Amino acid sequence: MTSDPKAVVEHDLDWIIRALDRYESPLIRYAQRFTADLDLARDVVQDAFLQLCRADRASIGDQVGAWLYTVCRNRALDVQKKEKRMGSLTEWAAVARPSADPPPEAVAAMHEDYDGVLSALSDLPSNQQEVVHLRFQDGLSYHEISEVTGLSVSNVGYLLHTAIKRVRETLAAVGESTDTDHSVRGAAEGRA
Amino acid sequence: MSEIRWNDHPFDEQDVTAYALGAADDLDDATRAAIRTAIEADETLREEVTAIAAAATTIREALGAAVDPAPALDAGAREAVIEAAGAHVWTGGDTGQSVTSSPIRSTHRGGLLRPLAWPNVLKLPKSATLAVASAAVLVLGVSLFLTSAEFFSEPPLPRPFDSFDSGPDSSAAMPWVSPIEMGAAGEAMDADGSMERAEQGAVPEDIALTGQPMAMRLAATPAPPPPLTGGAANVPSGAVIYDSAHEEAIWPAPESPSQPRAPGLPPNFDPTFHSEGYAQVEDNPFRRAADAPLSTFSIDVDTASYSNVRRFIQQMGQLPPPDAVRIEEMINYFDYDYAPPGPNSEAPFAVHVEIADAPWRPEHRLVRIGLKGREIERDARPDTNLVFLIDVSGSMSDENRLPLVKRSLGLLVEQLGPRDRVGIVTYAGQSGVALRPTSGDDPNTIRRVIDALGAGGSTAGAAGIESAYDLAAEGYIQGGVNRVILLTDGDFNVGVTSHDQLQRIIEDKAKRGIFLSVLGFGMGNYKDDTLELLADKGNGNYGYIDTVAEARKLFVEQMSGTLVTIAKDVKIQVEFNPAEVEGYRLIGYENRMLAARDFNDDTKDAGEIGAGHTVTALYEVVPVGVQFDSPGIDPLRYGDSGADGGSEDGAASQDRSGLDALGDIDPLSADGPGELLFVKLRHKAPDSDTSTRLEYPVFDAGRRLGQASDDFHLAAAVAAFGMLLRESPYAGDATFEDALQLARSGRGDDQHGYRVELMDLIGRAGDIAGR
Repeated sequence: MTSDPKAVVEHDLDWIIRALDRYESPLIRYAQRFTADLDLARDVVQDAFLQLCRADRASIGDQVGAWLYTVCRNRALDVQKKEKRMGSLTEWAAVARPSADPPPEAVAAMHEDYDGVLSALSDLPSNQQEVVHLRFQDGLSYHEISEVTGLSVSNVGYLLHTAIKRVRETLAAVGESTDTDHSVRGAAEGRA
Repeated sequence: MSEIRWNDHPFDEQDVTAYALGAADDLDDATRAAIRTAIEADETLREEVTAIAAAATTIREALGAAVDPAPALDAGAREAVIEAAGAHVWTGGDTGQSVTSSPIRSTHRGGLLRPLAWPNVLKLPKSATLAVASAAVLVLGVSLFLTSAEFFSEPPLPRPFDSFDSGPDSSAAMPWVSPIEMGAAGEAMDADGSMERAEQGAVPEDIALTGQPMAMRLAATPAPPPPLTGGAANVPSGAVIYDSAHEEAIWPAPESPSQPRAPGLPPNFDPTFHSEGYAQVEDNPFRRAADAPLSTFSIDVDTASYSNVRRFIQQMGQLPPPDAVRIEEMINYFDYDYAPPGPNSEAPFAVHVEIADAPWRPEHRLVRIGLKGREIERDARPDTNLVFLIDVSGSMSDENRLPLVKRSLGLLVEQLGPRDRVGIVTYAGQSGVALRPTSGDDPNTIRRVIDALGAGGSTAGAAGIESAYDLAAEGYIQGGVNRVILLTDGDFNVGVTSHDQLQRIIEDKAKRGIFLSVLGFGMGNYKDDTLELLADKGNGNYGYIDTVAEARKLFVEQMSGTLVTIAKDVKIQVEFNPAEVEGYRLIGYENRMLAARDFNDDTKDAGEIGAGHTVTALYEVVPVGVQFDSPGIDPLRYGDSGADGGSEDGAASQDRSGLDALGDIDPLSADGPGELLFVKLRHKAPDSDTSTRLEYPVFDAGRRLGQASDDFHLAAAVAAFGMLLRESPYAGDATFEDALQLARSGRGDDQHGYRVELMDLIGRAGDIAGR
């Protein structure tokens, strides 16, 4: 393998850069849910990538996403313990930082629209919050979530199902007065 | 609503949730099949699935809105990682603690990190790599694809322009060819086209060096990732240069490049659950320039297909059905940095052409033709009379339909002022005027009406459209923008009116100056084919709004383009020079093709261009001397595909005389060597019935891909991505990873983050395809 290291270096650099481009931001978001602090989350993610550089690529195969999430999670839990931020899976809304770019009224409007959902999410138990994050923010499959969290696939399915049910119930309770008449819609679709 | 009797089914609620989330791959085959069958039979279950999917969409959107902007590592941290990659790579790998503790499977290949499969042009000798260490970083700024071999096969500062440039309006700062704009003068010149072409043919040599040289442009592109210089100690040379020879040594090619799947259907795609309608699209084939030298099509500024594709990949976690992918709409979703026409130009748009290697088949050329509509300052926007025709039928009640419509309209109302008028018509069981034309000065009244909209009843679109047109006529502004905007999920029940009648009404109103735009919403029973047709007939644009961000793009960032049409019936005819071109293929625009004779026929309807809009068309061109193995066309028995194919010439001249006999086809040009093609455009002013003509000869300076602009890379990336999603037979060896690479090198400034989003989409699509 050392016979032509340059070639390997060239190749490997590209691989790492691609992994960085693809996963850097989602991983920081994910880690921040454990560490609460953005800079700590950045440190965690940097550590994970450093570990990726040292890792045996053959054993990672095409699972680099799941691999990075797993390493990040373990690292973030370590940090969380060290920082004694136990049980502080941050509130969803707290992770959102006001952006410098979009006009403030737009941000405000969006927040208003989504506040209900975000607050329903933050009322969920932390394990449900985490699978929701991995599924909806990061697009991981059930199997990948199972790998990352160490939960069984059916457990992941249960948590997601329960979480969505709760969110739906909360939203339905809020929007009782609005117009979600399923029988009418069913009729319309039946006719189409 | 009746209860779902779970005990009757061999699956449980959690399985149904997984199914609704598009995670059907996580279910076993039997369960998946059982759910599919049950959904067909049980309306309550079907509604449950729809409701879960809608809730999932809302959650995704809420989370998406909460994490803007995307956090990133700081440059130093990134640099450290990449340095470490350089330092550790040949030590064989030390499996970290977390690695061993987590069961990472590596049972199959595929997905994001599949090996690149570009053809072998990228190979180069090691010595060359060493020799050009200093150039390598520069190269990265342009494209990760560019190898030093390619770079040095050209002069260090190659002639930067492919074709033509001239005129006081040309912007020397643009890496683009500036247009020759003719307007009325162009009409006069038509009579003597040969003289005009001869003149312009002389231009490129003279102006070749007036533009900004390539190196300067490189300096202006975002700096390459700092680690590359930082890591130089560990990585002595050519750090980022791709070498496919080693690629293969490290990553053997996968046995089968993509997973088999039913033709026309993505994995997870469930025909019984979706009732979305897409017109079937066959990819444009390769044509022989000698047989069919003219390629004629209507422009298309629609972007709906891209946002719909995004909805499939991001929100449903599945690949879109191939027929939902219209490549021209994906390419035109992005803004390209084409210079607009100069202030003195009579033409409402400028035309640009750029040519370089086709990434998926480097022996082919990729020709990018770009139009840029005149920009209109916000204050200079003409007075606007808008009527929103809003579908409030029961099917619109989902979270991503009527609520999203309301949010979108709210964004638009913010942009309006005293010179604008808004009316609102709703349609459902019966249609009604919800708001008579009201000044944009009174946003509160407008907003109150919007807020009060509620869904219910079934659709009777035809009556609604008539009321909307009546209202638009009532508030008609002479010389202003008069437009009906239909917002619907496409469940358009025309009642007693036939589709043909409806089209005729729309065409008739467009002739009277009231245009129709269509904005699609929702999923599940979205009728893409109907909506595109309506907008097409109504001289309007067609967008698909999947998120508030998309509404913002259409209604805020590109408001002038969405509302103000600056030219209508814009047609393009490209004539290929058989002396240079063996064959060609127009990528996309399949349902915009016109007959050659339609080009000069002003009664034939074509596409519109809005203020500041860009329109891009890509041709893949097979130069003479390159083996032309178009699928579907047998090699000719008489004469080979070389430059001297005698019988083809015979066929061609026969064909030409046939075309000439029609009387209204332009004489063909086969001027000096090097003239690759001849671009002709026709357009009408929005209130005119006669067209104006522009034309440009185009030369190929032989640029390599790496010398092409960022925008060229991006457009090529979108085309490759689109072809992969369409499972096009013309995708060559392209993989999702290749498309991602191209998109990365075409990232440019990316002010609004759309290009980064594209990279994310391609990555996800690759993951889904490889799963």
